[in-house]
Amino acid sequence: MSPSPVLELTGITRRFGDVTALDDVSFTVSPGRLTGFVGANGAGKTTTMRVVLGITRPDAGTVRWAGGEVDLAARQSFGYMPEERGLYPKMPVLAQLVFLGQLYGLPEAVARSSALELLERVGLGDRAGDRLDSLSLGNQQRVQVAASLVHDPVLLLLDEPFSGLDPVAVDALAGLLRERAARGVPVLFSSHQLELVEQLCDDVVILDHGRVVAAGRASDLRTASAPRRYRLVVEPDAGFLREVPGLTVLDVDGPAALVELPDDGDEQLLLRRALAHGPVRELRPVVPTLAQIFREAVR
Amino acid sequence: MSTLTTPPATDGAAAASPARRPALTTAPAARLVAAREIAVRLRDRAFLISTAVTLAIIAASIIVPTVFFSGDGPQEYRVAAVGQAAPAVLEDAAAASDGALALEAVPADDVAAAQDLVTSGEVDAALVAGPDGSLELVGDDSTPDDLLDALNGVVSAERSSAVLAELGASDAQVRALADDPVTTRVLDDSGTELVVTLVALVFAFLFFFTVFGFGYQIAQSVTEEKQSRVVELLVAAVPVRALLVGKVAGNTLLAVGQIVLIVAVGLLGLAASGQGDLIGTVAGASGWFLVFFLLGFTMLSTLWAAAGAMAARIEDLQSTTLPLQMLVMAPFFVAVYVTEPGRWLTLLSYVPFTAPLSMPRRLLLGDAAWWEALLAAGIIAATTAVLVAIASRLYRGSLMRTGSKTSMKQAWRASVED
Repeated sequence: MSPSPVLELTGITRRFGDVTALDDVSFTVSPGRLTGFVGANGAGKTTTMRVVLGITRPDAGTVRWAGGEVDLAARQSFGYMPEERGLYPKMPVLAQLVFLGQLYGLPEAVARSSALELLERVGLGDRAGDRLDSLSLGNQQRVQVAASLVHDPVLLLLDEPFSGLDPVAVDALAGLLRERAARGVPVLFSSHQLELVEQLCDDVVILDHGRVVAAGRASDLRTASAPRRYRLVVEPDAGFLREVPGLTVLDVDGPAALVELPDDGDEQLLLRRALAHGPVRELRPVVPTLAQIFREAVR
Repeated sequence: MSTLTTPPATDGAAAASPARRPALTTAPAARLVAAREIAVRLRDRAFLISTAVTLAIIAASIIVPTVFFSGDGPQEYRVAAVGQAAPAVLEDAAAASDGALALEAVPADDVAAAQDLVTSGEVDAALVAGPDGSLELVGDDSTPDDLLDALNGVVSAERSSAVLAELGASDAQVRALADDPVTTRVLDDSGTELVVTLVALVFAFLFFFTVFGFGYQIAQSVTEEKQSRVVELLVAAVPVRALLVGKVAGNTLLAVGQIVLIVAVGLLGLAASGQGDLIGTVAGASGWFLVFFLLGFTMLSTLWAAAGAMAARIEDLQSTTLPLQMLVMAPFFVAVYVTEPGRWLTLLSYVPFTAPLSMPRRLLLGDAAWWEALLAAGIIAATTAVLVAIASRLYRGSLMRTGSKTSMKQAWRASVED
């Protein structure tokens, strides 16, 4: 059985002069899963991707792909979309996709048919012969997407692929990525749009100042890493909750309250105390959003 | 910080095993880069137009002078002929001129009519043959000297032979007197020296403009890749040296192709304008020039690529290519200035930057032996090896610095880090 196509980063460290851009970065991108790569500007997301692609050499640590080293053949099988977009402005759209496909090792005929199919797919089938700079920015972005997919990559690394896209294009790209993931391709993409990451991603890696502060399944991170918070609505007024020992009341607004239980606290006990006080209209756990987790993680 | 790793996918999707294509190695990658470079240039209208204009200028500069200024064509005169003998005399004079004169006889009834024709400018002169055998050439304000000389020559020769025959001279004696007494002879009848000087000068300019034009083009194409950021995709896909080699190879092919085209048009021009006897000399000179052109161009082109990589934007090119411009310009002027065989020319023919110009010139003059050419070629090749190493390092060290202009020092150091 062939080794599972997993991308593993272990202890990656990279310094630029006195600045440590990446500090012992380790995480995994698994096949068939969309992994969101989250971090503030300058956190080291782009550098991490460049290390995986061999553009930047790490000072320490290893990158392994499918159990082996990342050699030239492996790199040519990766699909990459740099944060700073760019193709040849004066070259016709199809010609440059074919050129890139060939650079990735495809025979010309295969590169051509793949490029044509992708252009059709992103709605630019009729613009194949036009110069790139004659296209609108949005359409240029679509060509960029096609460029990262032209060689049917076995791993996708996309740096801010959604930035600058309108909602329709976001949906289309998300569809493309899900489709690739469904075929078993590991997909790593960075984004500032945390709601989008939350919506799309199976896994999340949070980077802060060059360090991984959280990584794992998005659902696990949301339930496991956050404190136990509940929203409680009682009649007529929730003010009495302030008297309950061991309970942290974060917010009270008339009948509604946001409370935090201690780790060993029992929400059933809380329910009974509330019922003793009056009718309970609502009691539900509050799962933090990714944005909240992110803010806590990088604080 | 602990790292949570996620378990492999268990959603039933067959985990794709990485499709292992054989890696595209440096050589084929460089070929692709070169092919793109050539394809883009051949689609570039400005490039095609400038090439066509260059070719047109070369062709014109060879053909036009022979049409307008050459002494080869006959001098034409229209001459009004009065009297029975006149047309025959004109015919004889034209025949005796050996093609130098083309005379058209315009019959005129009498002297007055002939003079009217001269005054009105319809004829260049009038030849009036009197019944007594006298001849008069009538001009407007002067008579053409060459016409007069030709007529005098023909008529006096005829009269001399008649007189000699009357005196009883033999045909051989008559002929001996008719020939010009003084003959001429030149020691070097090929006209080669002037041609060699011209050819060397033309090639010096071609080298200069080609190295500058295509060199700048290489630099610009590298900078464009940086400025458009496409370089990040390229560097992720293929080794950096494949980019460098491909770019240089593609442009070298284009440059050599253009030079070959120019030489071919030049040779065709010589043939078309009846200067076919020069083709051997020029073709021989061109052969040596092309060899040294190829060596010299390759030597400098990697440096142009490095200069392009150090610029972040096209506007930076002026300053990052400045040292290189000096390196091309200074040797050019020296090589064009020092052309006479001697110690200095010999020295220049071995200095790598002037050798591409000076060595072919010495070979043309017969001043250098074949082994000297090989030695000079070897020196250029060795210099090329050193410069390629330096340029590759600068190129590699600055290629990914897209933010701002990279200094030579930064590029040199960055290469070690990365």
